[in-house]
Amino acid sequence: MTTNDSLDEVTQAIVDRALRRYEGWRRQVHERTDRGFAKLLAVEWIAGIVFALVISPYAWEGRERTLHQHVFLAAGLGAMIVSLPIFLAWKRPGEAVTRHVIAAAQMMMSALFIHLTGGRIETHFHIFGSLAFLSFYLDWKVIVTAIAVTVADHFFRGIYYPESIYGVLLPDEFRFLEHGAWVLFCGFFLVRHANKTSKAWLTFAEEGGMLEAISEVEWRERSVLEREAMERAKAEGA
Amino acid sequence: MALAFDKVIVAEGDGTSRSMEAKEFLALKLNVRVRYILEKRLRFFSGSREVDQREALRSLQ
Repeated sequence: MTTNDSLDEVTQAIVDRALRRYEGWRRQVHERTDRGFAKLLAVEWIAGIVFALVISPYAWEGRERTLHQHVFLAAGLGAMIVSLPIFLAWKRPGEAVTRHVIAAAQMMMSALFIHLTGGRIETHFHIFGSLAFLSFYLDWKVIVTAIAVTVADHFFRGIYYPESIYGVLLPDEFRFLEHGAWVLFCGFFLVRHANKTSKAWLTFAEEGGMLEAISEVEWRERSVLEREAMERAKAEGA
Repeated sequence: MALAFDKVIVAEGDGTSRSMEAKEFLALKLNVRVRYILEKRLRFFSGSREVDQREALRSLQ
């Protein structure tokens, strides 16, 4: 770049570089978190099978002892839930679709665990842990996706299969609202944290851009002085 | 970390100058701020003391 470049071009180049730095940091975080979730989902799938084997490994039909359907559910449904996000984390890390699929899958694993433990209230804490992990993405939209999946799960299972989610046959009709409200409460702070941290990173990148502009000014001034010195030396030599 | 400046003075093309709070300056689009720096139109102040431009901008984080 020469000193004759227009200020417009230099300004645009500096702004573009700052934004690229910001996007680069975000991309790194997204890719790293995708890889982390790929491992976590694989571990959760195995944990689901272990839960099913430990909690209700066998059922009895008359005198027949058979493997409980929960074991098949944990293995089969669990594999269906985790396979796509693991594939995307491997093939398309850092992309928006990957983290939204991961968010949905993570919340579905919470739902599966809750079912496997017969709606134990303690297992519902898995939801809050999952939301906390998802906040590592620093993307508020991912938290919204996760909350939507969880609220929808509570709503529909609360109607059609309440024992699976609340551990009782006849729960209060609006119990999903109570659970949803706690999830929203947690989500509100995580979204706020994600936005504030992203903003701080953008400010950091912008600061870099402004410092780069100062360096550009200093470089231009120095080159003018150097040119003057050269011209003076030339004139003196002539 | 606190900002090293609380006021920014922008020299206008017609010889006048405009004063703005640090918050107002930081709310400007980055291309406007960069352009001001490239045109050497900015001076940073903490109270009545002038602050070095580089020192001022480094304090943003």
